[in-house]
Amino acid sequence: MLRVFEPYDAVVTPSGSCAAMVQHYETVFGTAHSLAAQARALAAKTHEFSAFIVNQLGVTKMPGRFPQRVTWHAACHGTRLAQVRNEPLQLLSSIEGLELVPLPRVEDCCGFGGAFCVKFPEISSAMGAEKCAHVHSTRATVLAGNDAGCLLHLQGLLARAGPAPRVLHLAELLDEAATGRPTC
Amino acid sequence: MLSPQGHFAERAKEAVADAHLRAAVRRTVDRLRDLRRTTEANDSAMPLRREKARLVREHSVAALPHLLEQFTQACRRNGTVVHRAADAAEACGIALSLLRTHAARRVVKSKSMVTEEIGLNEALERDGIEVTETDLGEWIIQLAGERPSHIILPAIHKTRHDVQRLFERESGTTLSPDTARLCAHARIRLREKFLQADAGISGANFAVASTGSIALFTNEGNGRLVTTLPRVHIAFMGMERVVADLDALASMAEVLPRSATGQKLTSYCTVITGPRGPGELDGPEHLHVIIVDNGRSAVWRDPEFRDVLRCIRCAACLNVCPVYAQVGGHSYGGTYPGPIGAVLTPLLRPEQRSATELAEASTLCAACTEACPVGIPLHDMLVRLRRREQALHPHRVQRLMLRVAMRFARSAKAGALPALLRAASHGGTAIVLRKLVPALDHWQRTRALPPAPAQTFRALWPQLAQEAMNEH
Amino acid sequence: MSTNASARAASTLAANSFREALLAVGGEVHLVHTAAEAQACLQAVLEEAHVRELVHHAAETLAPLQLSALAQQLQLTGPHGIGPQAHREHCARAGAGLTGAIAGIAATGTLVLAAAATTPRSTSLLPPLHVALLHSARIVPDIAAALLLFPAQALPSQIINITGPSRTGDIEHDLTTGVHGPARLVVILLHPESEHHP
Ligand code: SF4
Repeated sequence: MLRVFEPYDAVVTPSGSCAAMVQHYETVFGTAHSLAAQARALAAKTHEFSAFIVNQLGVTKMPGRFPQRVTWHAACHGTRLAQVRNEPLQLLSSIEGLELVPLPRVEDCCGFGGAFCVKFPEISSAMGAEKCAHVHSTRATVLAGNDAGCLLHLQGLLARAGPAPRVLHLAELLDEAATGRPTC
Repeated sequence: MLSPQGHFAERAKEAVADAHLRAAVRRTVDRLRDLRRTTEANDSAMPLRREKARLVREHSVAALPHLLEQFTQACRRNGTVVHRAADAAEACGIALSLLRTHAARRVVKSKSMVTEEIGLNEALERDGIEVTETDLGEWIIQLAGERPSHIILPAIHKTRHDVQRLFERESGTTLSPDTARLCAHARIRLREKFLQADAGISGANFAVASTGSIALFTNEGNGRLVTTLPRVHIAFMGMERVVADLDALASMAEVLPRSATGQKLTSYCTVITGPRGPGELDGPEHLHVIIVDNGRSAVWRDPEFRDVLRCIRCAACLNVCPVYAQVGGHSYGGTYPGPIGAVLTPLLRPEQRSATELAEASTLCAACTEACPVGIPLHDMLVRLRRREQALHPHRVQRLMLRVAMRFARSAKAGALPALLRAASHGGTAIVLRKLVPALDHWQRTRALPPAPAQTFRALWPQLAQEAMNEH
Repeated sequence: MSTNASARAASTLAANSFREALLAVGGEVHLVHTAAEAQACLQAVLEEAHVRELVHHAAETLAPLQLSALAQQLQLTGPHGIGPQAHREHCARAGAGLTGAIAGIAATGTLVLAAAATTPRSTSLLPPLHVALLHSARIVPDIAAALLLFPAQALPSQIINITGPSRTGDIEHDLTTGVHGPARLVVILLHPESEHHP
């Protein structure tokens, strides 16, 4: 990773979880490790997708239209570890026609948790089911998020349970708004 | 300490299937965390209080040996007898011999986690001593012959009808399932026990080194009765409970109730310094404090985990833990459930292999760390525990799978992933694949597999990069 | 403003804050301005609760209440000239316990008591009703300040901080008062009018 990304000025990741992990590399290696300096450099230039747009590019107004009810899944690692909280909401609410509805108990983990979701499938699914119930309660037509893992898990759960809102990554949603072409 | 039977995963599976338990736990944690949040949101000084509490506990833990020595000396001056117990057996043994010396056969107890940790009730009962838990929730649990499911509210999984039946069985009378009536019944029944008791046993939320005091926070008042009526009072404390002085104690009083139940202060906060004084009409004639180590020294010597000794048992981490909300306290198997239990139990009981599994039972969502008023990095500690477990007992299959996955990801064939996904979601290959890869099976039982993309990002990248270059 | 007036303003603020905090946790507060009002208030509270026996802390800790004035209607038991056993029996039987608070805590609505020969613990604990007298001048801002009132090298055997009635939520979160300690806590808050009223 350190080698691959060396030549670039910025690294953008679609998941807050990945951003947090990269920002964490130094502690994983230990500060005395020979790669620590490189790890620090990579951490400094790695950004979660929405944080990159808002904080690095300084852009807060998104183009296009998205006339739908959207609710936001605030992924744990993105918010608590990578400290990306407001940026995606800022982008979403700037889109014309988009109605952003708050998700009840938004701070609760969805139950994905990496290997957790297959090591403890019952607990993971029970957590996910609660999250899905909250999503349904918003009557949103789209559930958006910025963590691929959570979205994969929630999409899987929602799809199994019958008619459900579409699950979109923030990037997909922005693309759809700008181009008018549905992603999926 | 009762050792957990079987594995967390099995107990958790049962708990998840128990709709009544889950609803009760969910109701409790939501209520407690909402109470805490409301209090914190209306209190602009809360960040400061937390910061001060963190510093106080950091200092207390750093200076632990010194503070314990200071505490012991101050106790000597005020007439409190201090005992040190290396482990559970020794702690129970000291209590037993004290009770024998004072010819005490009937004991009333106020809520104490550390006595549960050392299995005190069982030890006393084996010796024919009558032990009555007097915290209402604890009494209910004792009558049911169960273990607490939450640190603060131990009987949340019992309905008022369960309680009615338990009380009727204990008293041989007929009762109504009305909460107020049930509480009134408990007041009368337990008041008799208080008045008859020879000895009172309590925990200690905190000990104050400079004055040789112990502090108890309760809402029901049973903590006061236990330390007022019987002629002997024995207080148990984990060795990390000590803080330097009254100012440090005040700082604890500012955060413990707020973090636990959102109260600014519990109904009763008693600071006990020595036995009944000259001329006093009530209070114990003898006061003993038993300081319990039971694995704590080893944790203290471990720089990776020492900070966990800051814990003030407020249960804020339980109340925000999404896993705890699903599985409840019993699944954790030890005395301490939730995130603090997942960290503490394997550290206190390293010989108990099944406890190490608790560290796996987390999504590392870090809600616990965010809630903890004394700044314990709980989710980081879970990662450290996993790492340690891997180093001690490498999981071969897992490693092999990781290596295969790495190869796969690195190889040019990564484009095979969509093909694999497609195969896994349709037809006969799907069944074969799922059997071969249990994880896939666990995934798809409740979740649909994602639709396979036509092309991977990796395959698209050269073209995307080119387009971006051209635009510039 | 004179020093007197500003001291009074401060103590009015403290009294209000104490009162609000205690009301919020289910305690009862009666604000009175004179000894006579305090006396009448006590009488009314005891009558209304049909108290026939009152256990109380030593009279010197309860000034300016005149306990002797109550003696016609009630059985009164104080800590003087009584043994531990009799004291316990009286407290277990009494309809109310009367104490004089050493201090109050403005931020939390807390009463601060301390165990001593003249102020036993059971008085505020065993009866179902606890009535306490608190002087507004004795209200301190927070618990740190309250603990500072005691000499650290000679603390009383118990400092008892009481914030509202005894309560539990152990059965189905149904908040119930009086499970072990008093179900009612009534504070008579004496806030004297200043001599030079502004
Ligand atoms: S770890 Fe922190 S949040 Fe959890 S019980 Fe201990 S002090 Fe409270």
